[in-house]
Amino acid sequence: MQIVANIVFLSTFYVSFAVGLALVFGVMRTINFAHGEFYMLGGYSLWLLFGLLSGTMPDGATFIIALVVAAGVVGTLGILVQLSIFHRLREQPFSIFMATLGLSYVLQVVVVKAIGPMGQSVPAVFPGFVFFEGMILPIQRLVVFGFTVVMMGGLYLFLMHTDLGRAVRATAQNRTGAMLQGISMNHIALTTMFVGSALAALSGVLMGSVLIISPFMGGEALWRAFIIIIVGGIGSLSGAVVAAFLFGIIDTLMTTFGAGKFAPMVDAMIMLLVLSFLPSGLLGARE
Amino acid sequence: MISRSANAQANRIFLRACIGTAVVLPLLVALPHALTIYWQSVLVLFTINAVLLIGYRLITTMGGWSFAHISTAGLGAYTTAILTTIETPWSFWATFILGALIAGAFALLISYPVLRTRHYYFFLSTFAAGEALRQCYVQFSGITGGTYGISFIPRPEPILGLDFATSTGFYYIALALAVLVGLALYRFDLSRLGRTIKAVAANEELSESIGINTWALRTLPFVMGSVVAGAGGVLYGNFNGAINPLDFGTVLMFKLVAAAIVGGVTTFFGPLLGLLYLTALEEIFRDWAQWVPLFWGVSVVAVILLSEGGLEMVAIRLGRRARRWWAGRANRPPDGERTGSGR
Repeated sequence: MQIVANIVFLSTFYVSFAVGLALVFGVMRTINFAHGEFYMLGGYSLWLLFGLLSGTMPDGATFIIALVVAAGVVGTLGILVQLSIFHRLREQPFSIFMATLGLSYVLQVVVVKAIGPMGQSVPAVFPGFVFFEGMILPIQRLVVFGFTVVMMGGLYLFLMHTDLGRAVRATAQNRTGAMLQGISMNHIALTTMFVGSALAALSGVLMGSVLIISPFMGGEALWRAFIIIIVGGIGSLSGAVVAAFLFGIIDTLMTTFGAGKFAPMVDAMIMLLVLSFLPSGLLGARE
Repeated sequence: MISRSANAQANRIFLRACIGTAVVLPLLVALPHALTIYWQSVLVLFTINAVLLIGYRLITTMGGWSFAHISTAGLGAYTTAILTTIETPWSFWATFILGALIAGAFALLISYPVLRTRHYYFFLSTFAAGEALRQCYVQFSGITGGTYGISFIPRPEPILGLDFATSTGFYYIALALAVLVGLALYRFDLSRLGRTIKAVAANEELSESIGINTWALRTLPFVMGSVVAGAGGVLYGNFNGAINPLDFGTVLMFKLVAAAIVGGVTTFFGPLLGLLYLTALEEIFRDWAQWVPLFWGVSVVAVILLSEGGLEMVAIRLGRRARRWWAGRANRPPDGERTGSGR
């Protein structure tokens, strides 16, 4: 049973990281390479706020404040990136990719210079364990899991049940069609970049409470997110969720049975196999 | 016969390049003797990067920008590092060939799935494949030394009385490889095959419809470029004397891609111009080493936003202007025809 719990914890992390990337790709048709650094900034906002506010208020409140602040700040950063890079380079996805790759180095350098290259960690906000059906569940992990579910639920409601969300989905499905319906592409692009970047930051805050926070944590997570969105089908949110659970299961099982060092190789081979037989991924639309 | 005259023209251009190389070569051979030890090592690394970049440009001619190039080069480096530090060490020269071949074999293995993808899909899949390969260098610590890597890699054993223990000696291996690979791939670039590969990149469906085997013509440059990467990687690891997985991470990959973008890939020499520029930047800001990727990033964005086709186009325009100026000076009547504007 412990394995099931571990699978769920790992999968929710993959989901929370990869969904923002998939959303941005689906609408903008290009990859934000700095997504990993946005996630890293989320982790650092938690660490900074803990340093500033510890003692003045309960840790749980600091945690909530960190979620809000990180989403706001990094979401705004996403808007700035949209205005300064994505918008100016539209129709040149490769150039955007390279420019955001440059940006990811800029952000890493800034963090290394401002805070230092060493990893940081935050004390457990919700210490303790729950024992249930023979499973040992750290409360911190459960809270992270709960917030991730809420986050995904919020994203689902936004995309499915609001006009703006519908417009975002319409744009992802058919750009020209969406434009003909009078949807402003600039408006949708700004919304998507805000939401996608905020998702990365939220994921960073959540995972920052259980992992080591370092300037390079984004790069370490990013390549696996690429594998997830490729296997799921680029731009497909449901595909990203399915693939995140697939790799959550595979990676957890491999680690549990002492084959963790083969995990990157196996993940890559699954990606290559999927590309061989289903080039547009498990749930991706054929282009 | 159109193709024959095209071939004759390619031969003429290639002959000119050979003569040019022969003229410059003595200078390049003498160069390290005029430098301090520090600049000698900069020169060696520049030459090795040039080899990697020449292989990289070949891959870009088929229309895909691979992000697995440096991890692939790492295969060459690890092959040499492992086989020359075991109890009964291999000869460097044997591992050199083996390393290049292993890199090519890896490229061939992943070519089927990754070449099914195009554009951004292609660089995502190669990025993920390359990063997974790099994770293997970390994870299989029993043979790769994990994050610490492998150190005390011995320098190549002398042949024909040439000693490669010094930077200058090593430079001659790198230079020989760069010149040989450079000339071979330059000729390949001019050949009918090389031109067909570019045609496939320009319009794959049309190429396929006139009976070209587009699949083979995309696999070939990918594998050939990776073989060159493997050879370059062998030299890179051996020159440093120690390797670890971070050496083959995104920083070096970004440098190559940035060189290709800043220089442009239309001409054979564009990426090398870009590499020269980036290396100069790196050396000027040597004391602020952590900021260097930032300057590279800014250069890339600036070239993408501001210029048409990178440094190579600037060089071509300057060359054309100089030639016109020379023609005017020699009092020749201006021929008036515009020989194809830059873009």
